[in-house]
Amino acid sequence: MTVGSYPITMGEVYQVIVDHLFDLGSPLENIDQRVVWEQRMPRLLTAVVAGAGLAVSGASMQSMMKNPLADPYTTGISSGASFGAVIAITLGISIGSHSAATVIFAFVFSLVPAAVIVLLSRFKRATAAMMILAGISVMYIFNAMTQYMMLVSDAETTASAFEWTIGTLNKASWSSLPVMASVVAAGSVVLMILSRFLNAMNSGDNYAKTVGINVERMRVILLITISVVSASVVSFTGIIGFVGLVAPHVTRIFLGSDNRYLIPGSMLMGATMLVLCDILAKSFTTTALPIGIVTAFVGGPVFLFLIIRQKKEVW
Amino acid sequence: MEIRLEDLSFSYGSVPVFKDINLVIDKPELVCILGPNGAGKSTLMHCMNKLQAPTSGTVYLDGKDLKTYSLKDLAKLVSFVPHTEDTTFSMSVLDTVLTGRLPHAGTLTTQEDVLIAAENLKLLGMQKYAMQGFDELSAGQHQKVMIARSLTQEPKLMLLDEPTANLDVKYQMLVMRLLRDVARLKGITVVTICHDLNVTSMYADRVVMLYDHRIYADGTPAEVLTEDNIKILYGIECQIIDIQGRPHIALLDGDELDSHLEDNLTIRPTSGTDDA
Repeated sequence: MTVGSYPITMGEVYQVIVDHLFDLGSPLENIDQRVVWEQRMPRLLTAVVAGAGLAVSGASMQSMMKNPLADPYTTGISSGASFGAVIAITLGISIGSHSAATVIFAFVFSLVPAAVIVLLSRFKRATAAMMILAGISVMYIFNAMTQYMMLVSDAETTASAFEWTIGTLNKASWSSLPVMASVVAAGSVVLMILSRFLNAMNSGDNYAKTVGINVERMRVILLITISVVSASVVSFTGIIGFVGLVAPHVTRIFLGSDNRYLIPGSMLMGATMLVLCDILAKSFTTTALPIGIVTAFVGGPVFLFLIIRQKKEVW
Repeated sequence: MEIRLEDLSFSYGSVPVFKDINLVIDKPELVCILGPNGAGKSTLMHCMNKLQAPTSGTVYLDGKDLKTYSLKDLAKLVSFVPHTEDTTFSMSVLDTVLTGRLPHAGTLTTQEDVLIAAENLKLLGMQKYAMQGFDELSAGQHQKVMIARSLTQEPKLMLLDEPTANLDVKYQMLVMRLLRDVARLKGITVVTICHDLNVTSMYADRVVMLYDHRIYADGTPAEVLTEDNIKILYGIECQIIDIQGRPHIALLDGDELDSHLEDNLTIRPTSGTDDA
């Protein structure tokens, strides 16, 4: 929390935090107080929660789909969220406030692809392939509509809509944190409880059924949980890429693929990655780069390096 | 444990796989299902553990219609070793075997679960691989791990789809012998799909031959594994020799093999693929 355009020392940071936690009078100047407690603290906690939420979704999505390329956005969550946000931004919709409308629209629309898949599963078996393909078709539909909306609106609106799709922690505040944190926490508990079923599903649907798992229903439950968790993150931060894809893989290198360890491990890894990326984002520029750019730009090479380095065949 | 198939039929659309099969397996013994490719062996097995639903007919497990069992209740009684294992993210051998405890276990793995898993790994000679990754093993070792996992489920009825397919001769014999002993000593009914006639003959208590959409023959190896039956099932001439009181089948190459194979080169309905 010492990194950023406004210089604050480690000691001052601790002082502000201690003061706040124990409700002591503060000897520090107001501006330090405000920077630490009103800006950097919620930003840091948002990074932790968002990182953990995206990583836990990614880990379970990969295990459920049995696909190393799956991430929290695989079934079209990101494109749904973008479309929702872009509608709210370009049409200037306001619920309470304008930013609240963006969040609510993003959240609602990010759940649409999952809803479509759940509906389809009534007619067709919810296999991993069916889910991915259905998710991708919904994604194309949403992307087309998003692009159309952006084409027909003016440059300024398009720019702010575009900015939303990159993913940023700049809007982090105390008010958004409780919602995000409680959804991520609740979802993670559910996913951890279901982790042993994921382990059996890893050996194939037929085997999983013969140890008593209703595989199709389990997939739908998992999909809904993952969608809600990632939607709660995405709707506040925009689409932060890469963490949800890579954090589980990095965790697998250290902990192996047992979902009982992988899922909580990925949460720690995702939180750490996002916090580190945010520090980088703040150190290189005075305006703080959108974190989505940093995660992808830094995460890519690091991950390539890990793929080459690691000897154990996790994939 | 008694499993009873009554008038069981299965077809993919209008293509019949098998018709009106009646079969009762009512004591703990090693039952081998034999039959040419596409005879419906796997499909028949899948109808015995709810992986597939028969087109008509009923399966009774201990007198109760299979349909009335929940997957979880069924999993406590019946275990299954699939033909192949397709893992994407593989876990350690021990963790893989521990998934067999799922029908019995609570949320957390207990010391007892680990002991059961370890004991079964030892039974298959796989204890020294327990901490290795499943994907680091050979196909034959995979098969052994899957059998250990199936035993770890502590079922009353074990179903296996070609458990010896990837094993060398020694392990084919060891596994079949183990399955026979599991049936005899643990009182578990073991039903397995086989291809090797001689290994079947050596260890099976009962052989069920599937051919032409029905049960073509059913009995002890000596009753069923005859020159005539093998000729009809596979179109291959053979000579039966009595060794250790069991029929030993020496397959013969010959011209009639060519003609027979050509006659049979019509395309049959495929069945029993894992995910059909």
